[in-house]
Amino acid sequence: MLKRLINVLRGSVRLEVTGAFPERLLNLCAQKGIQFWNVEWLEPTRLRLTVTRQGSGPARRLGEKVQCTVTPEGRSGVPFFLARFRRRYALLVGLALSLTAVCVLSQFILTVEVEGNQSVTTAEILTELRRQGLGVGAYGPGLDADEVGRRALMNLPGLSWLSVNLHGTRAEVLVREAVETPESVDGTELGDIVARASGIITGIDALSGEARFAVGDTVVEGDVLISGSVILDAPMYSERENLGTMEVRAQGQVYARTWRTLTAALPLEAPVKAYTGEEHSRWALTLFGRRIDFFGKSGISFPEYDKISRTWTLTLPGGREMPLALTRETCRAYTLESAPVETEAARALLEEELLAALRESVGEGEILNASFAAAERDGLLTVTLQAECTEEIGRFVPREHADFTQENEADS
Amino acid sequence: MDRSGKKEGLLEKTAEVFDLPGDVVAGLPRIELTGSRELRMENHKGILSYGDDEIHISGGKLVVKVRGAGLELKSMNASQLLITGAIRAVELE
Repeated sequence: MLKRLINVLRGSVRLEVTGAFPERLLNLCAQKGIQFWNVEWLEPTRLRLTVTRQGSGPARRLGEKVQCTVTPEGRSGVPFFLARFRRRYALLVGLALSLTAVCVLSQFILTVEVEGNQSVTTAEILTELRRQGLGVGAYGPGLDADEVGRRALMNLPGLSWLSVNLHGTRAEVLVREAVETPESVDGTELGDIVARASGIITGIDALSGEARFAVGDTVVEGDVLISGSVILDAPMYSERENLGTMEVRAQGQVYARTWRTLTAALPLEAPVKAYTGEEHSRWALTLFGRRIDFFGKSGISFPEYDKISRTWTLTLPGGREMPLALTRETCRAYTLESAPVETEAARALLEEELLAALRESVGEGEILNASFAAAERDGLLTVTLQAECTEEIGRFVPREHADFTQENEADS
Repeated sequence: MDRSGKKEGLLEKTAEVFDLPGDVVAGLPRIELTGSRELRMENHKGILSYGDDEIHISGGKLVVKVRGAGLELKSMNASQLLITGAIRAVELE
């Protein structure tokens, strides 16, 4: 089997020998070291044998010496197969170009794969890597993967670790996301809890500081609910009224019943697009991340238009995208026309938006009841929301630095 | 020719007397038969005739006739050759 394979690789020639004493040729070939096999004695004066490609010429010359006629009957093997293409210049040029393309293109990055990210998007990471020089079409041997990884990591605060591994035309980027640090309260910062909305207090939990209001009191926006200035009571039988004040960071929750009024308006006529039917298509080719526009510097003559882009990316059967994409941009001209808005639909839209805004402002609080009122005036639909809620109305407001001196007084 | 024949005979006898291998000392043909399918011959002097049923090989002073069926000269070089096939008889002449 191995011998047959070797013969196929080096090529063999089938020779027919005709002469008075053809066995003389066999003996001469054996003496001269010309390998032959598969000897077939056809007649006493005619035989066939197979010799190697290199042995064919010498065997024919030896045949002349022993007065035999040696004619090649057939050729087989890889060298003869390849020799068929010797004069097919276009094929050879194509082959050379293909090999060159493979050698050259394999030096460039064709795909960048990001693994291990969840909250930081792949697009963010790819954009940063491209900024650092690693992108589709980047020259692989010129890249310092470690340096690129280090610089990208510094500009991506959401990541704690990033590694760039180059595997030929594929760049593998492994990342680990940073664990979000819990929100810390600066205990040294002094201040008060202030009402961010007006209402009637339904509950107050002062964890630090002094509560200025009690349950059932009415407060307006901006009132100090829990003060950071704590009055220190004097000891019993002391002549002093108190020992002064101590400044702390006020902490606690204040719950209140609030009434909120929100208003939103929408014009009853809106501009809508009316397509004129005029279209203009432009083509572009993206190769290794570089865009080649086929429309040069020609502009769009339409004053207003929609641009619809469609991209066809070269994709391998496995689903891997290659850095070659064809893009068609279609510009559809339109004019703006005024059209009436359906009142009920507009009202429903505004009510929904108002309710969403209320939920956002109430936060974890509860909406007890809500009512809407709508009015049309001067071409505008105005919807007003009135709602009763229970919510946490405390908001920490830091004190000015000048007040720090009071703390020292209290200590003395 | 005659002198060379004498020399060969002397070498042959010397090898026999001193119990030395004749193929090495006198260049005598050495035939090795493996079963009935393969015959290897060293120090041959060339093929005299060739056929499917009979191959004649020169061994210098003697002629080796290999008889059988489907005989084939598998490989051959200046000093040794290999014959395969169904070998029925090896005759020296």
